Amino acid sequence: MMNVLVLLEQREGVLKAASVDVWNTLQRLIDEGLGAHVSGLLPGGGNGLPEGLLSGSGIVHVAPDPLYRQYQPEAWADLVADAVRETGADALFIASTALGRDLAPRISMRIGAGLVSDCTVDVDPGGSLFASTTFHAGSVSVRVRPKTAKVIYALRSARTPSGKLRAGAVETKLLEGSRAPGGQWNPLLTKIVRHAGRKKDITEADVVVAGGRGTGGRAGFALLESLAEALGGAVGASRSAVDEGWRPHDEQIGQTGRSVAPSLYIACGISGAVQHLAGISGAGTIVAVNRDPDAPIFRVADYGIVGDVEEVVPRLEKAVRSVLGEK
Amino acid sequence: MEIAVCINLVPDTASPVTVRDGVLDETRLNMVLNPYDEYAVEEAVRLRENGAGSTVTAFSAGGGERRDILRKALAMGADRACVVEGDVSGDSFAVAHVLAGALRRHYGGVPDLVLCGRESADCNRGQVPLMLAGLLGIAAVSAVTALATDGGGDGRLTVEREIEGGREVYALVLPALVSAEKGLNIPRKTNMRAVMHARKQPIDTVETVTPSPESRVVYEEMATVERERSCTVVESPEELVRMLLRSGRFSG
Repeated sequence: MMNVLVLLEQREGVLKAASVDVWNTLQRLIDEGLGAHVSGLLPGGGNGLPEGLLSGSGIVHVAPDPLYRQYQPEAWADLVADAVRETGADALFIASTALGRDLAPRISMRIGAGLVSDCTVDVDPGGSLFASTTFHAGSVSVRVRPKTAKVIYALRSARTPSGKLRAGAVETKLLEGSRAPGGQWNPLLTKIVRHAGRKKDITEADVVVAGGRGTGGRAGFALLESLAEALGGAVGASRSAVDEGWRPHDEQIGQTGRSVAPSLYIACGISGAVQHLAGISGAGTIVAVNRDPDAPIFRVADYGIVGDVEEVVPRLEKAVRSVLGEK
Repeated sequence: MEIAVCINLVPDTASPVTVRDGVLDETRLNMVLNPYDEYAVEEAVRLRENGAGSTVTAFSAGGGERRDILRKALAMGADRACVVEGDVSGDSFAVAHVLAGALRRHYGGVPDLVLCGRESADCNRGQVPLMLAGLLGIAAVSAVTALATDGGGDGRLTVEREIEGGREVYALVLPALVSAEKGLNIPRKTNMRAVMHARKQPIDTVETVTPSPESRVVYEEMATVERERSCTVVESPEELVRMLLRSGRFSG
């Protein structure tokens, strides 16, 4: 029986969707035969755990010190490394977020654990865990075999459909002796600057409307914004749209940007370069809108519309608003 | 200030990546300086240009095949270049050991600032920079999009990194390591004169004395990724919405 610890990341008291995904992925694998016992670690406590978010059973250890409400890299690395030792965990799971990618190597150095980055995990017929990752911007897959006693897995986003999840019986417990020591941290987080006017982040959104070169420019992206608003989603961009300066880098989806796992992904004017596809491998339903019927994006999509973004997207928005209005 | 830049040799992202019998076909790969490392070299050279008395040294671990990218770093403005002779066939942890050993040997301690790219464009793991900082016992911030010295030469930096929906600002006391994210700067184009000059400069060699540790993770069963789904071509947006509704993939 493997002893697993999941790091639950919160920002300003709100549990990150990517962390919930990691927890629920492990619970699903247990249902599919993985022999593991799962517990969680929630630095900063925040607003506690909302009912029904975490499926299955397990204990979540809460380190309530206010210092942990924000990411202080070295303080967090010490805390998590201690928790791994104290809970006797064989494996630590972290979501591959901006925080997770920075934190995982720090913990790896502290506890001498092998680090499996940006991976997906599954269970083999024998009930053992195995991990895969990709090289060369998502074009080549590899199996990863850790050789250390303890292993850290940083998981690429993947949402488990809620129908597949067991109702939760998750308890929280205060972590003893988890007061952060005083003193000056180096590096020291001094400030978090929020992007003004941005409603939803692409990694948190359940619907992502993304645009590429075929969007034609900022005016085209305004159409995407409007569609995303109708769907309650967020707007993302391909590398070419970011390179053109139409969108900021933090909206870039792909191996060189960020991985997203929405239930519905609508790719508008995106040709479908391999490195972009690597960033949407965890997406549920994929819809592609492109004027080129031979664009590679259609080969990975569930639904496709051949047409111009400026013609199709406003009609799609109108159709969405009319059905949502009827509800 | 002593500034070390660690650079890597990777396939050009436009190179065709094909796998034959579980092994990467390297014959058609065009090898270049890792794009993220260009930001690191550029930032190092800018720091040197803006503050007197700094030396920028570029390091690349592997063997003689690294000379071309080291010459590129020299052409971009690095003062010195160094091939780190060592085995880089292992995992990130082993590679970080080789680099740490070389830096300690070259500087007889640790440099003031180490710059790296956020990740290599081939393996995309982003592990080496933070592991290297851990081995050197220095502070680190990864995937940095802005870097400023406080001007007084007091060994402090202010750096920023992107997070979901915003950015974090850090105060960083040297010695430290920073890994560069796209957006940190726009790397300069090298002109013919700089390239010719770089060709005449010597490239040093450092040998790592301590043997690399064993790899902590092993990568196996390489295969080309298949992502194909069966695509239903829909005639109109209205029909698409009806189909999404029918399949229950549309919660609204």
